[in-house]
Amino acid sequence: MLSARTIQSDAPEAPDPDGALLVAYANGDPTAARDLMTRLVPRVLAQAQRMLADQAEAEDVAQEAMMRLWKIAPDWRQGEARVSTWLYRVTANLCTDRLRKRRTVPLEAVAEPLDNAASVADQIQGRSRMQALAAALASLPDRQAQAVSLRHLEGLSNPQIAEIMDISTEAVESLTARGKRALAAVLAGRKAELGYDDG
Amino acid sequence: MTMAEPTIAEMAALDALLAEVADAPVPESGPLPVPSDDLMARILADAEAAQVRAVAVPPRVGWRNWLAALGGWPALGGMAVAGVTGLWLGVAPPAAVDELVAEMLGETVSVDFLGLSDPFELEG
Repeated sequence: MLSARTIQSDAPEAPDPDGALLVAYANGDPTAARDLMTRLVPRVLAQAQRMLADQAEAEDVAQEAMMRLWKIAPDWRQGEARVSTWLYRVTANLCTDRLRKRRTVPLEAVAEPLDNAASVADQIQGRSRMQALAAALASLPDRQAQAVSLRHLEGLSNPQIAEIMDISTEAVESLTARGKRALAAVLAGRKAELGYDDG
Repeated sequence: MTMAEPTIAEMAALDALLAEVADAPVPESGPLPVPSDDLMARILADAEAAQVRAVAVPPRVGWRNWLAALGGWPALGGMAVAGVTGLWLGVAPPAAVDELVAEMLGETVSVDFLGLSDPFELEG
């Protein structure tokens, strides 16, 4: 996926230009913030859009994630985490916070009418597909939603996700597998509630 | 609500949905969205406000910052001299210092652990 190909090298010894810019920003460099924003905001916004399927909420998350970056800048140490790793984590957490708040809305309230002759995915068009997925993600435990999103929406590898979520790769695989089973069941459950079978 | 395990077809449908959302093209732009001018303006305003605060409160003095905090290498030269002088005064205090210390502490304090009580023979 394109998002995976744009990720910088994972090698810990590879320099992190975002980190260098962040240190410069903390030291008062007047142009560092703009450079960082150009490099980082589009990807943060994309991640939030894919998880939330709501432009206004995605923009709020992007702004909040960048605010946290500005605040942590004085404490940033080069050579430890990469800025992109840190931002993936912060953005994922902010998104699941918002998804959790949506759980008070019953899934039926966002259900789309389904034709029993076609699959769920076929029936949900365009923007509605994203909204249906976001609604299903909202029903998952946070860490399952994050693991599935980072793997299948952001196209990251299991080792990358393990670093972002600060867990083992085995834990990532387990969360992803459980999350996907739960998502499929939720989406299938919607069909069942409307009286359509799998046939 | 208990849910049955999804079927293979349902898992395939989910994979298709995930792939579609992951690759959803963003109108008018390439693979990544173009943030609105309004959003970028808000983020930049946050950055500038936070930067003012960050610079006003000096960052934690890490190993890279201590040299600048002391005024750079020229200041360090002076500090080195002051440091050595202080060590010398402590190890081999001239008589005047001994008297001052005695006055302050009420007793004579003399340290001669290096046998340098009067290395420069100031006390004649």
